[in-house]
Amino acid sequence: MGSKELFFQRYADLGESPRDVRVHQTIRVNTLKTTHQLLKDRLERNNFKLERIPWLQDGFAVKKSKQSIGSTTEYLLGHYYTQEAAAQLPVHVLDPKPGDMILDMTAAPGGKTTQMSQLMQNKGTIIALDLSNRLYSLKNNIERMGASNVMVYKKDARFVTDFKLQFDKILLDAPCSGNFVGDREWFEKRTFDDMKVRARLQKELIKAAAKVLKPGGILIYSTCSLEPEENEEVIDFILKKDNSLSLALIDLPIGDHGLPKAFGQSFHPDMAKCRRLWPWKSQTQGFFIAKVTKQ
Amino acid sequence: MKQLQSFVAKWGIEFPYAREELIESSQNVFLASKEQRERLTQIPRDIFSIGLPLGGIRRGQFVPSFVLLDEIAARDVKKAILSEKAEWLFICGRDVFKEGVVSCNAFQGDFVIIQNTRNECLGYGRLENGARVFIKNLLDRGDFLRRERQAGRQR
Repeated sequence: MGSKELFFQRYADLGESPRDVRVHQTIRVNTLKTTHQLLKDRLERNNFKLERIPWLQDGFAVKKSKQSIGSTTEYLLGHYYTQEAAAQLPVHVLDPKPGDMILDMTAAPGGKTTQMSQLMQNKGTIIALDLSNRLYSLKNNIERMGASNVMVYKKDARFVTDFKLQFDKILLDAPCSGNFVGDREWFEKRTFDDMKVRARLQKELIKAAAKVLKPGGILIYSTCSLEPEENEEVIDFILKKDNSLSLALIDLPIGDHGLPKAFGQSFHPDMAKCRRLWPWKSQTQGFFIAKVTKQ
Repeated sequence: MKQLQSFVAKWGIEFPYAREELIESSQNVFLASKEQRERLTQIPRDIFSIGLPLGGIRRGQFVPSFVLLDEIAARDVKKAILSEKAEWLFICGRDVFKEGVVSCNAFQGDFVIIQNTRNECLGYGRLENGARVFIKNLLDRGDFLRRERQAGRQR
């Protein structure tokens, strides 16, 4: 059995009917610089066809294009960010407000960081951490999108307690093994060992996040992985470790509930409050989102 | 900081920022809010980026950010407005030919802000008025894509 069959069999074992999916490119309108209508009119004059995604605040699908959506004058002016539809959801669930103090734990290249700035109207503070060379992309995107309320540190987020700060809201969009949508070679590149390595790192990251979350604060944990080991298992781990934490219901018009059990392992009874986007159902990338609150 | 000040001085305008608003880090200058500056003192670590970048040293030269160019473009400075076709060629890194210029209030040797017909700043150049090249491209917004490509090669 090839790698693709193995992964598809896993999803079938979780009760799904997996199949290949092709998704439209999507953008997020940067309302710090323009409006939905102005951008739509401008791009449609240049032969793009845009369609509003009803379950996103600022998301549009690119239905037709004669040039790359990533190299237009409007893109370079920062009027939009090319950001996959499902990837726009974690920030909506976090619901950043002007004045919040937010930690973005693995921020580069900055799609979600600049989305938070937008919703905060550049008021309040985002502390953005990353270790990778993609920090330069984060800096470029901050400049391009005009996200002025971000402070970026080259720092391993597992050691964020060094900063001796507490945060109202935390986004942990964790490094993960990804999913097959949009990457034809994904099945060839991925092994089950990758997942185990990622899951170890994810648990260390969420442990650090829990320590610096203020009482009453919100922590969003998300990945674009479909694998329960990187999702429900990580949430189950932190809920068992820290009894001041609990899951809050994610109310979205798209996606399925989190899994109550997987491959013989039962998870925390509240796991259904999480959200899972299976690509063959949502016509998006795969995604998992959990909303954790602290007493 | 000196290079930032002398870059702004080239445009014949007053320096638009107060000294205390500016943070220097790794040969870059940033415009930071009061809240960010206060926060900075609480975190004992070198910052990579804070607020909005105003420019930095690249290959020994000061390169302005587009935040700074937008600020300069909002003032009464020399400007050239390009046609739609010339706009895209400029963004692709090309110099500007006379036929691509819709209007220009600069003289030979002047630095000029380059704008499209919507008055959006696309970059800056120097008016040459040569046989073919009218404005030498010194920086355009296509730089964002070139930086990304360079960062991708380094990964």
